[in-house]
Formats: sequence, C-alpha cells, structure tokens
Amino acid sequence: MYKKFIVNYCRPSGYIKKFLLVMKLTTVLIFAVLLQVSAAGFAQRINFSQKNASLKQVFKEINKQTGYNVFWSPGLFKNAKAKNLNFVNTPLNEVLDICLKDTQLTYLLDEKNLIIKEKPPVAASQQSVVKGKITDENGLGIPGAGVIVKGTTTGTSSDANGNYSIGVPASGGTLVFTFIGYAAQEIAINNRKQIDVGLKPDVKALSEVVVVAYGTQKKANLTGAISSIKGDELSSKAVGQVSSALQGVASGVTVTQSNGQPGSDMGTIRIRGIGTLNNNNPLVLVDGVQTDANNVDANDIASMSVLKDAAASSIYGVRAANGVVLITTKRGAADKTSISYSNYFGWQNPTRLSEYVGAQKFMTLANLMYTNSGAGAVYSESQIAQYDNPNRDLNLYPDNYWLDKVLTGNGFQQQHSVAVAGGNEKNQYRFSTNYFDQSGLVKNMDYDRLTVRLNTDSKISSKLDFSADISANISDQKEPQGVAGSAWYQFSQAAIANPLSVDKYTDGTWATLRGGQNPVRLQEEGGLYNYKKNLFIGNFKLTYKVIDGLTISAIASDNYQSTNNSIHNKALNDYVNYFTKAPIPLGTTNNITKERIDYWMQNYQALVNYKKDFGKHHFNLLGGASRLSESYDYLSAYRNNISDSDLDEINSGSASTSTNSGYSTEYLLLSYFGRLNYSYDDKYLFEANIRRDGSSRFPKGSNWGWFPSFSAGWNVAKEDFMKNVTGIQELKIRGSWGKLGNDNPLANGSSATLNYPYQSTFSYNNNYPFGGALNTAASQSMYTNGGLGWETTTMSDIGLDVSILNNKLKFTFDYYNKKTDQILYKLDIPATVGFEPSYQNAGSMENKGFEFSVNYSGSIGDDFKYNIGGNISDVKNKITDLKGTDYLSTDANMIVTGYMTGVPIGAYYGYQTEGIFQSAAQVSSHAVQTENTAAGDLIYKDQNGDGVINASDRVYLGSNIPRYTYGFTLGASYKGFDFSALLQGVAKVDINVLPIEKAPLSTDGNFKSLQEDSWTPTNTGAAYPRLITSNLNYLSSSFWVKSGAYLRVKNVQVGYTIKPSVVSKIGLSKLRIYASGQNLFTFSSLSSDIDPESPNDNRYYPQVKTLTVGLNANF
Amino acid sequence: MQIFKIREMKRIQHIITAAAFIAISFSACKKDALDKQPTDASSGATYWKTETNAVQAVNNVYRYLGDFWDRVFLSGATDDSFAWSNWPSDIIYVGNGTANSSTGVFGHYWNNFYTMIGAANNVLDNIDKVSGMSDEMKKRLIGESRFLRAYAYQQLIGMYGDVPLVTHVQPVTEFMVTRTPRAQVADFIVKELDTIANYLPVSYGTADAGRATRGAALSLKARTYLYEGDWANAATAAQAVITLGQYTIDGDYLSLFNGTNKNSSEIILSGRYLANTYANGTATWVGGPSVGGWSEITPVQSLVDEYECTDGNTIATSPLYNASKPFDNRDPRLKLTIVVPGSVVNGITIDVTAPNSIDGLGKNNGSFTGYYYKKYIPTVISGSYDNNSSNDIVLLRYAEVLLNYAEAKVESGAIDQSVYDAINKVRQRPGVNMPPVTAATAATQTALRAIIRRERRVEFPLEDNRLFDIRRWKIAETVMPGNVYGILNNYNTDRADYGAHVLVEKRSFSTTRDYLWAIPQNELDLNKNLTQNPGW
Repeated sequence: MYKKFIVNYCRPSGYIKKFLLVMKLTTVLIFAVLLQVSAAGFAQRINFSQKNASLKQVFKEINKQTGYNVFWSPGLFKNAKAKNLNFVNTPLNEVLDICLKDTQLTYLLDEKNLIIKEKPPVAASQQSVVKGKITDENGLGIPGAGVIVKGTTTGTSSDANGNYSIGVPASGGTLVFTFIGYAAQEIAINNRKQIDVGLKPDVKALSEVVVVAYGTQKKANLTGAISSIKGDELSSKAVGQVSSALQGVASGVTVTQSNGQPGSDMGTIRIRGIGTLNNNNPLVLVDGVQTDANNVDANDIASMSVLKDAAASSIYGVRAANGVVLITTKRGAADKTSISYSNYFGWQNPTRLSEYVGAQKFMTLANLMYTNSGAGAVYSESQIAQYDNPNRDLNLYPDNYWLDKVLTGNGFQQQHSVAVAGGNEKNQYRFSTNYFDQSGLVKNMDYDRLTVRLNTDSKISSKLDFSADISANISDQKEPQGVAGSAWYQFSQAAIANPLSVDKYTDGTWATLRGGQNPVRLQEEGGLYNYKKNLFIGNFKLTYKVIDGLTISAIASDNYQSTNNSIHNKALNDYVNYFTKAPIPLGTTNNITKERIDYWMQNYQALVNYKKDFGKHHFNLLGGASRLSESYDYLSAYRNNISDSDLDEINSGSASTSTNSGYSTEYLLLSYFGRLNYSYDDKYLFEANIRRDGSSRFPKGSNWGWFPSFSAGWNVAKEDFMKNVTGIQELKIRGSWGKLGNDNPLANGSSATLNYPYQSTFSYNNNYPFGGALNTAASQSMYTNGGLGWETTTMSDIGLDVSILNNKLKFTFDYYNKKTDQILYKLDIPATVGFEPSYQNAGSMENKGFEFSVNYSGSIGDDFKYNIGGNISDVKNKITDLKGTDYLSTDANMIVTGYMTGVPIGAYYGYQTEGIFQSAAQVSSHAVQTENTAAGDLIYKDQNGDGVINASDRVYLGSNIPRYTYGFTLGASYKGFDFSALLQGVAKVDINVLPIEKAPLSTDGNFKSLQEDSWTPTNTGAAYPRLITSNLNYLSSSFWVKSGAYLRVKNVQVGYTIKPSVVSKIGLSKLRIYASGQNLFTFSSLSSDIDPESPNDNRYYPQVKTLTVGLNANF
Repeated sequence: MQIFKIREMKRIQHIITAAAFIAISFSACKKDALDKQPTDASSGATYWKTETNAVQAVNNVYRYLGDFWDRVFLSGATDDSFAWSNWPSDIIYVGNGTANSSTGVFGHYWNNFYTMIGAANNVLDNIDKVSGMSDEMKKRLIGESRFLRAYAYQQLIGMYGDVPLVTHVQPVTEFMVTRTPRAQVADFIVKELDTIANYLPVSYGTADAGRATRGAALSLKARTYLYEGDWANAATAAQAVITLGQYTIDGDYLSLFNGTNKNSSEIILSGRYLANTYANGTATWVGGPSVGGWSEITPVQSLVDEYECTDGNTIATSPLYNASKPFDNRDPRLKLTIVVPGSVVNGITIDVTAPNSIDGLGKNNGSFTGYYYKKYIPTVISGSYDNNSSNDIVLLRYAEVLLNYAEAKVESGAIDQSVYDAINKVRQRPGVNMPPVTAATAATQTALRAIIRRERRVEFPLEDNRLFDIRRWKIAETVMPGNVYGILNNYNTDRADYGAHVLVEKRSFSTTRDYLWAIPQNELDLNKNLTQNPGW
C-alpha cells in the first residue's frame, strides 16, 4: 500500500494523475470566470454630469447604472441643496461621498442595497458621568486601560493611577474594560456613578489556546502531544540564545548547553531523545517558517509550542521526525500605542574550572611518573628545591597558573530591548529592537547582536488580511587569534601547559608556549578573528476569507543569511631565546583569510482551510502545498606575507601567496499536505494528516514519500455521566499514530555530503605538487552508493490530560514509542575498501519513554499567589537493527563506543575494572594484561576466562543518553514582589571522564590536584592508578565511566514592581526591577571541575554562571 | 444587483488562481526539479572521459605517499629514536612495548595505505572508459597507479605481515576480506613491478618531476626481494637500477632532506611538498625549542654510538675515539644527522650542555635524550606550527639500492668487487669520505654483513628502513628491549644522573608479538573475517 505511492510525481499514475487533472481544469475554469469579472467590474463606476442636480436624480441614476436598490425615507432630502455634478467613470463610493458632503446624511451599502439615512446624533445624549479605578490582580491601578461604552464609539482610557472618567448615555448601558494581557470585563452601569473594576490576567488567551501546525487549537481539543510555553518564561532568562532558554521548561524536551563562549553558547535541543544516528535537531518554525531558533529575540516571543508526537508534527513531514518547535512572535493590537523597554546587565563566571598543581608539585609528580615507567627523573631535586625560595629567578624557575593567565575577560553582558506596538482596527504593528552585548571570559572573545523586527497586520478589506513580518539581525562574534580554533587554543593551552612554562620573562619579552604561540600574547597583540552574521527574514501572508469558514492563505518567506568571516593572523615571530637572545624561528606569517557564506531559503506555501459546524459536529479541513528551496554559497580567499601586520584585507597580502576556494549547494523540497479535524460536541476528537514530500536529496525513483498520521481524543469530563463528579474540570485521553520522514543526515546545512548524500563525486579541491607546482588531483573519497531513500520514523503516543481542583492542579502524561527505520547514516566500512563510507539506509532504532508534567497554582489570602510545576521525561534508546554490521569503534581518546543491536547508540564499552593491583604477585596471578603491568595499575576483568586481557574482554559499560530528565518551576508573587525559579537535572546518565580525569603521559601536560591521589606503594588506597607514561590505565574501562546525574539551579529571579502611583510621576505605566541568576548551583557527584551538563574535557570554553540585574518598563 | 458579488468574486478567483499557480508550479512537471547535482565536483558515473580525468585521478594516488603527519615518526618504533609524547603520533607505545591493538599509529598507516590502494584501484578499474588517450600515456598512468599500489603493499606487509590483497574496487559483497599470506602479496608486488617497469619512463620532464619512474619500480622490486630474503633476485633487480644509469650518489647528504635539493639524481622516489600550499610539519616534529620545534622524535645514544670513527673503526675499537670528546673524529654523517652539543642548525647554535639552554634536559619541549635530529630540518621554516616545512619525504634513493645490492650479494654468498664498490659509493660520498671497505678490511660474509648493517643504520636514520631492517634481521628482540639512554650527563651536577647517560625509557619487546604490528582493532571489529596477529 505504502510502496505503491512511491512513484515519480512527474509520471503520475492513476490517483495522482487525476489529482493533477483536476488542478489543471480548475485553473482553466478560473481563467474563464476572471474574464467575465473584469468586464463587469466597470459597471460599479458612475458616469453622470448635470448642473443643479438633486440628490433624487443622482440616486435614480445610480440605481440605473449599478442595479442597486436605493432606499430613503420621504422628506429626507428636503434640506439638501442641488449641486453641480460631473462624474466620469467615478467609483460609486466617491460619488456618494461627494453628493452627501455637507449634509446630515450618510449611507449604507450592502450586496444589493444602498440605504440613505440620517447621520446619528453625535454625543448629544451624554447625560451622566461614571468614574472609577481600574486595578490589576495585585490591586494596583492600571494606567492606559481602555473603557468603552458597549455598542458605541464612546471611549476613554485610564490615567497614570488607573482612574478613569467617562460620559455615558442616560439610557445606561454597559462599560467594557480592556487591557492587553488581561481578560476584558463588561459591567452594566445600572445608574451607578462610581464603578471600580479589578482586571484579571487573561490566562485563557495564553494557556487555553495552543499554537499548532498551521493554526491554533483549543488546548482542550488537542489530540497530539504538545507542550506550550509562554513567551515570558523564555524572555525572563538572561541568556543570549533562545535555545538555551528552552531548557527545563517543557517535558520531553532536553536542552544541553555545551559551551559558554559568547556567540557559541546555543543549546542543543532534543525532543524525545535521540531518534536517529544522524541529525537529531528538531524543526524550528518561527511564525510558520523554518529557521534557527536562535535567530529570534526571546523578548519577541509570544508563545512557543513543542510538537512531540507524530500526530502533532506529521503535517510538517520532513524533518519533523525529531519534533517541531513552533515559535509565535508578538504582534500589535488595535489599541493605544504601547511602548516598553527592558534591559539587564550581567556578569559571567565559569561554573567550574580545573584545579591544577603548582610547579613544585608538578615536578614531583612528573618525576614519579617517569621513574614509575622505568626512566630517570626529569627534574633534579635542586631544581625542585629552588621553589622554596620566594626570591628565586622567575625566568629560570617559573610557576604559572595558566588558566588564570588566559581568563582576562570581564564577562560583562548587557541587553536592551525596546518595543512599540499599536494600531487601529485596520492596521496593527509591533516594532521591536534588541541589542545584546556579551564579553567573554577571555579578552577580545566577544559577541554582540542587534535584532530588529517589524510585524504588521492589515485588513485590506473585511475579507482580506495581509501580514508582513520583517526581521533582521546583525551579529558579530570575535575571538583573538588562535591556532586551529581560538577558544580551543586559549583553553587547551591553558589546560595542557605545565607550570614551568613562562608566559612573559621579567624583562617583558614574551615566551613561546609549547613550541608555538603564546595564548596570552595572542589576546593582547595577535590578530582578530571576526565572524559577522547578517540575517534577513521576510515573511508575508495573505489570507482571504472566501465565505464563512473558508479561508485561503498564501505565504511567502525569504530568508537570507550572509556570513563574513575574517581570520587575521599576525606573525608575532620575534620570539627570542631569553638566555642567548637568539631568535626562535616559529615561521609564522602575517596572513588573512576572508570567507563569505551566503545562504538563501525560500518557502512558498498555499493553504486552504475550511471550518464547518453541523450542529455538534465540527469539521476543520486543511489542504496545502509548499515549495522550499535552499541554496548555499561559500567563497574563501587567503593571502600570506602581509607587509604591515595591522592590515587585514586580501589586497594587503602578497598576490603570489593567494589561494581561494569556493563551492555551492542546492536543496529543494516539494510538499503537499492535508489535515482533517473532526470533533463531536468537544467530546470526541479526531484528526488525520497526510503529507507527501519530494526531496532533492534522494535519487530519482525514491525521492517521494507519503507520511500519514491519525490521532483521537476523548474528553471524558464532558460526558453526561461525569456531570455529577465534581472536582474534575478536565479528563482527556489521547492516542496517536503517525509516520514521519527525514532527509537531513547532518546538523550542518552546508556540506555537499548533506545535500547530495547519494552521490559519489570526484572532487577537484585536492592537489599534489609535481615539478614544484601544484597539479590538480581529482579524488573520489566516498564509496559509490547504490541508492538511498527516506528515513522514516513511526511514532505512537498515548496521553492523558487531567485538571482538578478548579483547574488549580493540572497534569499531563504521555507514553510513546518512536521507531526510526532506514536510518540515513554513514555506517563504518572496513578501511580495506579504500573509501570513506557513504550514506546508506543503515538500520533501525527505537526510543520508548514517558513524559509527565504537573502544575499547581494556588493562593494564600488575596495577595500571596504561587505556582509550582514539575516535569519528568524518560527515553530508552535502543538500536534494533544494523543490517548485521554491529561494531565497536575506538576513538583517539581510547573511548570505545558501540553500535550494537539491543543497546543504546554510542554506548560505552570497555573493560570491567576490579580495583587496583596492589602487588606484583597479584599481577602475576591475574590474567595477563601487558608485560608492563605492575602494582598500581587497574585490574581488568577477564570476561572470557582465557587468561589474557584483550579486545574480546570488552563489555557494555553504560550510555551517555540521559534518562529521566526533569525540571521544576516555582513561582510566587506577593503584592509587588515576584519570584521564580527553575531547577533542571538528569537522574541517570553515564559520562566517560577518561579524557577529563586521566593524568598526563608526559611533561607536555599538567597534573590536576586530584591526581595527587594516585597509587604509590605508600598510598595503596589511592583514588587513581599509578602515574606512568603509557596509557595502560587509560583504556576504555568502567573505572572512568561515572554517573553524570545532576541537579542544577538553572535560573532564579526576584523582581519587584513599583507602585504605578509612584512610577506614573516619571511618565511610566509600569516599572519592574529584578535580579536573576543563571546556573547558580549544581549538585553532582562528579569531580569538581566537570560540568555535568557539558562533561567536555577542560580544553573547551567552560559553561558560565551569570548574575544579572534588569528592569522592565512600560510607557 | 450582481455587480458587487462579482467584484468580490474577482478577488477570490485571483487568490485561488494564485494558489493554484503556486501549487502547480511546485510540481509543474518540470521533470527534474528535484534532481539536484553537485556544483563543484563531477559525478562519479560520468567522470571517466578525458585524459585529464585520468591524469588527475592518478595525481590523487600520490597524495598518500608522503603521509606528512606520521612518516618521520616511524623511527620512534626502532632503536634509533625516542618519541616522548603521544601526540601527534602515539608511536611511543610501539617503541616501548606498551601498545595495544587500538594504538593510533596502527590504524593510521593501515588506513593511509588502503586509501592509497583504493585510489589506485579506482583508476585501474575505470581507465579503460577514457577515450582519445595515447597508448603510451595510458600505459604510463596504469604504470604509475600500479606502482603506487605496489608501494603501499610493500609497506603494509613490512608492518603487518599478511594483509588483505585488494586489487579492484570492491562491491559490497566483497567487503569482508581475509588476509592474504605475506609471500603471496610479495609475489604480487614483484610481478606487478615486472609488468609495469616498461610502462614507466626512465625520467620525466621538469613539470612531472616526482612521478613514478622505471627506476622507482626496479628499486622497489629490489627492496621487496631483499626484504623477503630472495637474495638472487634482489641483487639482479638492484643491478638493473644501477645499469639504468640514471642515478648517482649526491655530494651533499644533508641537502637531500632539507628541501634544497629536491631533484637530486640520488632521489628515486619522494613524497613531494610545496611551501605554503602543500606543506608538512617536519620542522615542528623534529626540531627542538631553539628552532621552534617540539622534539617529538629524537635520536638516542645507541644511534650516536653506531657511527664509526673516521678511521673506519667502531668506537669500541678505534684509537681515534675519545670518550671525553665523543663527537670528534667520527663519521661526518653523525653531525650531519644529529645535533650534538654546539651543533649549528640554520644559523642557530644548539648546546644542551650550556647552563639554562632552552633545549636542555627537562626543559619544556626539550629533547629527553639530549640529542636532536639535524637531518630533515628544512632550511626554511615558514608557516603555522604543523605546516611549516616544504622539504620532501625521501622514500627510495640510490644509496639504498646500492646497499640492497651489496646485502643481497653478500647474503647469497656472491661476494665480489661490485659489493665493495657499492658500499664504498655510499661511504665515500663527497662530504662523508669514510675509508673504503675492502677485501682486506672485510673479507668474510660475516664481516661484510656487519658493515652493511651498520652502514644502513647510519645512512638511513629517520627514513623507514630501520623498522623493516631490525625485523627481517630478527635483531629487534636484542636491540629493542631494555633501557634506552641519551646523552652522557657530565655537565649538570644537579641531576641525579650526573656522570651517567640519561635514562630515557625502559622498553619491552615480545618476540612472539612485536615483530608484527597489530591489525587495527577498529578493523577487526568491523570485519569478522580478519584475524589478529599473534599476541595482540
């Protein structure tokens, strides 16, 4: 059944052919109709010319020319003067306006009637005044709130203290009080002169309606697994990237931040774990258009929905297999213009840093390591003793703590946001701009970004809406010059350099470090690496309401991103041997690399949506088509031997050294999709989706795929039999099944292997020198791939939503089973083949798990309100099929990872350790490890009992895929004070600390304080094995696999809203000040220098904790 | 009456039309809208058309010859050198006997040579598709590819013993190969070289300097026979190179390795490099702190002691040897190859015995042995730390052919004047001029064998020969295990080793295991048909 539809679209057969035919016929018909319409259109214009024409004459003529029935009451025109009129092909409304000018008359025009009537009296019947105060949930006056007499245009707004005064008709009526973010309230006047009103926050608007694929839906009617997050949950965090703000706020969503470097500190988002062997990034759509989550400013986000199961996301088909994140940005409203400003200032510090030993200890440990290994001591006792003398010659006996030396930045960050929103009935806008500036922990390692967004909505007519959203940002990331990656260079040198390395001699000359550049000097005197990104996104949408319930939309989105990288290296080649003053020829040169990367994404979508109710039957039908193209263009140029080291443009270098490179890639995705929602009495809910995608990443014949999904829900609480059950407001059971496709084998969207994964090509970008000149070498590095098709994910989900205690306590539970087949992966192949593996449909994987979230909101007294929430999710990952090619892979750190059926992907394998050998006798009685094994070494278990420890003794040791990811949120408010906290953690995960905790194997490395507790004959109970120069103890083993469970206080915030009566004196309607902390505390059993969230070795830029203060102000 | 409605209709229709147009234009039966092709590379299916295609694909095979990250490190697995750090190569573990089947260098060389073989096989499987190429050119390109493949196999059997013999691009069904006995692979190598020797020109024009020549094929054949112990054939093949008349012993030993004499008539095959655009990291790996290097690979005392005194006697027997001036009156190649206290490299004096010398013992990045290599330090050091050298990596040279010839003759018992001539050509290179070996000084096979073995060791440090020599002579088990020493510390009283040679490392060597390297563990884990070498 499924297979049958995998046919080339352009050679349609049967079903598709018919569909196409219908489409074509429709077009032809539409053309025919259009011709008629154009001819008739002129008839609505009037040709009429007469002096002293009476109104009666004019209306009779209009009736004649247009066919409208024109009505007026007798005597209506008695005061009207005759006019000289001359209309040539003048539109009807203009004719009417001219004729009725200076009269007390107006008109009504409908489909076939023109009614002339008297203008209503203007504010003539105002007979009494109502006064009062509008307050918020805290009892504070709301300035600028709207008050309107229902059914009239009479209105006013409250003053700075929330007081208002409005004239009302004597007949009475109803007042409507409105304020953005608050539920409107209607109060009958009933002859009162004083009406005070307390507005309540509009929770309904934010929580009850959820943004879903191509629209919104009442939360009560959802059948898919969706988490929704309010914008202020994201914007209240002082983080630079939206992805980082998503951490811990929704169940089933795991965000890990692995890097604290300004501009590189985005989080990795995983929805329901790792679904595939390749790219696991979810699809992120901002206002319906695919982009990177970090391209939006958190302050602009109105809401965010995370679509987790197939039913919710399958309409997005491709790339929705890893879940979908829908971001909706804030828009203007037909209201008084509002201006808001917010800022914060923050200070960053590393969460954790390694502790290293000083020079003296270093030399002692190094000597121990070498003598343990059978070599002589490297450092003499007298050299070590020199360090007892504080007045020693620091040039000869240095003691440098390199981590302190490179941490030269101030870590200051600030953000300022301004938003202006407003509009009238017909046009609304919201303009916002944001400036973010972040200095790193290292001097010159900075990031700044300016974001601008303008969202506009226009009602072109009562039926035609148009919205144009334009956003742009300009960012600039800087790094000091560094070899092979700047942050890496700074931190890796600091982590590896031993304390005997001089940074600067006492006479001020720089020393080389580890035979190369000195990172501190690079910060101060080196060139700058500069990564500029410019982003423009235009998103245009036209929605036409054809008839009640039927709308057609056309959406065009263009996304252009350009990256300008400038990598400037200064020679800094004047290092000298401090003692002989002989120059040290590092051979570095002044050079410049310029890179230009252009990226275009164009997405055109057409949607038809039809809603219809038949009694209690509610139908919603959606159909659509989408064309998404991406192209990417890379160009790079390089020149060397720049005469003036300060210059950093290509032309400043020597032309004879110039090299350049460039390539481009293209991608096209065509999609058709449809959705049916059916509900009966809001009790029984059903949804079906179908999607067909064609991707340029697959070869002809297998590039089209069908992706269906179904879901159903039952609102049990609405059943009659539940009517007598009090205390349950919502009880819903959901279930879904669906299939999704994936054509995106890599996270990075640029490379040729990503965009042409089934192609094996000859690349010309290689050379070999014959006769002193480069000759082109054409290489086919990838093994030729026979064929490639869609990766598919099949997901089933069962969910339960419950709301009790008057909606105070809510919880949601989901259980899911996600199975990914035909995984696109470069499965390792033997090196003897001689080629790199190409992509293939490699196998299958399964993720099973549950998600649970609970929220309680309550209050004590009138003033103290609080809410508490928690979420936990679990995912169990397992490879279910690898085409019989299960294998283990050992990396350069000796970490062995498994690609084995039945266990999680990338699981740790290695030896099981059984302690540390305490004696030579123990070594010889144990299975043979190596000839060099001795007391103090790790004991590896002889799993197969063959008396030898070798590769066949390796076993499963654990998995680094987090189980039981959880988050807690706490919120409270009391009068003007508010408090919120987010705690986030993982209950079960394994981390391989081998690269972090192993001791150096030579003097090119530094010992950590914890390695002082290494085995010696006198320290037999040591935490670590003996220090030796070989890696016998640093093989993959259970000794180094540790629990990475942690709990982190991710965010704490305390705010105070100053009384409006105070701030109104300085022209503000609202002013809130706050202080917050990010990554404040961490609880983990790992050693103190490992950040459990990013258990990288300490050569990476560390995670940071940030303390901020800020304010939010509304004008 | 109807007009208003129709006007409204017009808008609807506009939108429907627009929507329909968009929808249709998506599919539009633009037949191959989804058929996107790479824009900067040629499809493998249509590649093989022109002579240029063939030439460029052959050029690609050469890219694996020099192996710039790791080639010079091979010496660290022998009694010549000590590699102190495990980066960029972890050959230190191979040298001291603590390697295991996952040690990086085992995978590195295996992968490099099989990639080279794959590239050559790709040419050989497809070159027939190219039309319009002269027979001569086609033969040459086939010859180059087969030569390079043979070279890779010669290296592989020397390192791993039995290895899978892959001679075409494999279909998926053939991925899980088994190991072919070493003798069969060797047989394959010499047969290949026999076939293609005449496909290859004796020499190339300047623009093609660096390509495989007939001399290279014959030299590799001689080496293969010699390494496999086929003395007679080795001698014949070496003689063929000599008879070719293309090669001479260069008058400037050091220039062969420092980038100043790339087209020397002594060099038969080298991995080629070019400043700035195709550079290697030799200066960083081999140089010491004074020249901005990391001393990753340094000579040990045992190599220093191997050099004869200028009278042609070893230091044990020569009256010219003065233990207090151990570097005087020695074979000039000692100071050409090794930095001894006071040696000058590129104008910089390096004296590890000087107080506070940045090259001294215990200094960061300083040599642990107290010695540095001078050989292979390029005269120009320019570029970033691992890309600052453009000297070539010498793979086959005439001195080896002559010594191969001599050894083959001696081992087969056919000692004649040509043996002495061959040895003396090498020993008496201008600038070296060691006393000749004659029938008077070395008459017996045993005496000559010792001389040839010493001659090879002092002539070829940092080239790949020593690794294969100690294996085929079965002397690794005696020269490898035990303590490794460096310079005599008679200058630093602070150190505990004052008055003795610096103890650099203690090595172990398993006779049942270490004559062959481990088949890389990752390879065994992927291919269950492969078997591991004994002891790993």
